[in-house]
Amino acid sequence: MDVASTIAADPSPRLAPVALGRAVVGALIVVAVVAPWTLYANALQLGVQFLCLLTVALMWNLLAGYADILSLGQHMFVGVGAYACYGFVRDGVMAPQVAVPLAGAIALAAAVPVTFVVFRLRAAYLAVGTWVVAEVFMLVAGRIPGFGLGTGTSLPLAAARAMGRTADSRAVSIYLLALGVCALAWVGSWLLLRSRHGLALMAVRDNEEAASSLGVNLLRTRIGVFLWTTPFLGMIGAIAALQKMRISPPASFGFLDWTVYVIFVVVIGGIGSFEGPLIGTVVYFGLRQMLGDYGTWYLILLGALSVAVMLVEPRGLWALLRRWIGRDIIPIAHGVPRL
Amino acid sequence: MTALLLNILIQGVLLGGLYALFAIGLALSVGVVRLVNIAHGDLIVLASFGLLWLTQYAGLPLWAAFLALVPVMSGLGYGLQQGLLRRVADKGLLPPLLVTFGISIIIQNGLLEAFGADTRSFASGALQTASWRLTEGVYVGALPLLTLAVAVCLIFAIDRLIYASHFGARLRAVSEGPATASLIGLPVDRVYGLALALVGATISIAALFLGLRMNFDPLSGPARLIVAFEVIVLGGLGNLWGILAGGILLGVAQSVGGAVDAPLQVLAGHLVFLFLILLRPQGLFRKN
Amino acid sequence: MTTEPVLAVSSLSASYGKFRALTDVDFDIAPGEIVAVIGANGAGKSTLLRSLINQAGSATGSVRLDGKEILGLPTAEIIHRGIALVPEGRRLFPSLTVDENLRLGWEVGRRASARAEDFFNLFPIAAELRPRQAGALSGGQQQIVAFGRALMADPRVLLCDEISLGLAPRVVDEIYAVLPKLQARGLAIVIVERDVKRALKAASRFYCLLEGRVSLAGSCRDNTRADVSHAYFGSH
Repeated sequence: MDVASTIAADPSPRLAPVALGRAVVGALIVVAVVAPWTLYANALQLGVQFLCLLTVALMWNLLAGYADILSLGQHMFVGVGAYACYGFVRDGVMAPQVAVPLAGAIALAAAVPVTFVVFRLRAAYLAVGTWVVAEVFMLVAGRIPGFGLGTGTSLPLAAARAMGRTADSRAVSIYLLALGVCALAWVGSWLLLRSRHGLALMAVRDNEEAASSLGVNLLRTRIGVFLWTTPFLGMIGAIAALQKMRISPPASFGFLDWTVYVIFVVVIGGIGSFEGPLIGTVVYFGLRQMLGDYGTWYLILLGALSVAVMLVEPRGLWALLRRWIGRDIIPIAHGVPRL
Repeated sequence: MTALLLNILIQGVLLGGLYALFAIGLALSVGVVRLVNIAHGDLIVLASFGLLWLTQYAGLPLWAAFLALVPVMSGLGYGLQQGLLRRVADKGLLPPLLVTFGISIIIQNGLLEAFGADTRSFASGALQTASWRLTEGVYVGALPLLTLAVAVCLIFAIDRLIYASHFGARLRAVSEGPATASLIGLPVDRVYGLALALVGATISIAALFLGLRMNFDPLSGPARLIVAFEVIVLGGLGNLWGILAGGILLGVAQSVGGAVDAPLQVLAGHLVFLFLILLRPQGLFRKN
Repeated sequence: MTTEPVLAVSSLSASYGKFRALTDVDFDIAPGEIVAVIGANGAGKSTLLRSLINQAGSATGSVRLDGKEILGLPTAEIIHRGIALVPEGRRLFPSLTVDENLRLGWEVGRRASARAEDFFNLFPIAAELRPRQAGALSGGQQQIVAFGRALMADPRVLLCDEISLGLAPRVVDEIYAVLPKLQARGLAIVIVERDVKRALKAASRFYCLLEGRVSLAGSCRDNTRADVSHAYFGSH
């Protein structure tokens, strides 16, 4: 992937597919926004799941694709958010809509000491290190009094009622919350990558040695991105808790839901691009609808697909698509086209 | 009171022997091939299920099943390197990790499909319950002691292999400078393959004692990986004997935690691990 | 040249991705000859040596060893057939002993011992260094061991990549004094050097590379300094 080939080989981008791609994204956004008025509660719930997975995928992608951090423990922040949300709504005083962003703040606060420990390690060690810390969080959560201990507990009905009188209106509330968080995650991350910090990130990604010789503080940049992702993860955790109306260590800190599936989604869709997580999430839900819920086989399939992606085209489905199209649909690049 | 403390200490040390066995393969993998194999724990569990299948369904005695399994796991290690890992080795940091991550999930769910979610273990008859009484209230189990002995012997054997044989010189060469190694004509991929074959053999040994001393189920791989990982980070990668030290440290930490409150066992180990990272990320032992 | 070349290269081109490092290089060397390859930084000298043992991106053209085509063969195979490289910067394995470093040059047991003895007879200094860790040696000592490692493969062609790099002049003299000894055994030696004067003094023929092409080739005696200077810098 050297510079020479990047500059030399880029053919003039086919405009029709780019426009089509942008139209598709636009259409998805429109669908997402009008959903509350057009879809039933079940479909809205599916929409919430989609938006939650998409957000978490976006965050993991920021870490893995732009900051060279393989995180195997981000589910800890999702769990912290869920538990924080429960803590806030438990007494029935705080509105869930307020609890969600606060849960994000708590997740961010929890992340700070985590970075102190975890960033003493590097690369693969850091990855497993995050997993260990996540285990610790989960074990500790199962011992905090008042939060249901090992078996967890349900959120009070007052919290549900605060989101809406009927099941339908509650579904709409949660959906709008999820939509809000997801939109914020997208726009925020997009702005981040187009900013000075984003430039630093991509410089580090492309050539660590050169970047550090230019004064880019690698560690601080990486820690910054890591911390950036945590409030979003926390908010998603809070939303998930509100939707399930329940918290418990295995469910709220779900390794499978918030790390395994997320990794597969981003890997298959395409690491290191904005389009990748979107494609991956669509593929994930599409496959799930087609195959039903054959849990183990579905996971084996996803695992095999991820391995295949790594062997054939490490930048995922999006990279394959992009070779054909020739340009990003969601532009982040600062001028020189990158592959 | 001292009997209690002594017991906790002894159980911890003996547990450390088992944990060292888990970690040896990962240490080799990281040290020689520079691969943190996310599927390491799952491979141990896979091997345990292999032993289970050979003993329960094929009717072999445990020792025969073990002898049959070693070449299979070695071949699997070699094949993993030559078939998969070799192809992603030059693609950067993430692809090898993600490949082993995918394999981890595939193994877990494949085992779930094949064997179901029940926990299993091996019976070893008299060996399981035999123990010696050191003093009042302090017991040393025969099986845990055997495990520790095997760990020590295995570490010694691998140490000699690496530092006193021609194959070992090649392992050290490709570990130290893979680029130079290819320049002088060493078949780097094949050496990696043989290294992972050796890892496969050590995994078979770990699997044997896993099944004898603990329960296992299809999803217990990650927990074993984390143990192995904690051991090698605690011990540092410079010295093979660091594996034993790291294992014992982890074992004792867990033993103390478990004595305070049973569910605290695993947590205690994690906390000691994290504490050590904070203080001394390079581990207990410096490089040789 | 009266004898058949042991190594004959024609139309060799090598690229790293889209970057062309070598273009249409013709080159040959006979047994017992010392040939110098000179050129500025980035001219392609190291790439030339590496492409001969298939360690330099993708290459096209023809490389014949004793008349047999070896382009594209795996490096280990090429080395077994008789080409060995003394890499730029020595590149020993620092934590391995000198003995172990030597043995890595060739795997087979008994013949390795015989060759090692042979090497130690040739360079008595090295014999004393045997049990020491390679990383603890001085630059000059390491260079000799690097030679030995290449010689352990019993090559017909020895490729020397910048063997004077980073060494004091007196040490370099000692190293260059080794070359005639090797030449006397029929070894064909290619030396890549930035120190043009030394290279042209040691060799009988030379090739000058400029931006991946051979800009001048000929006998070291017959060419003037001006010619070589032109060919080196590409000035008009």
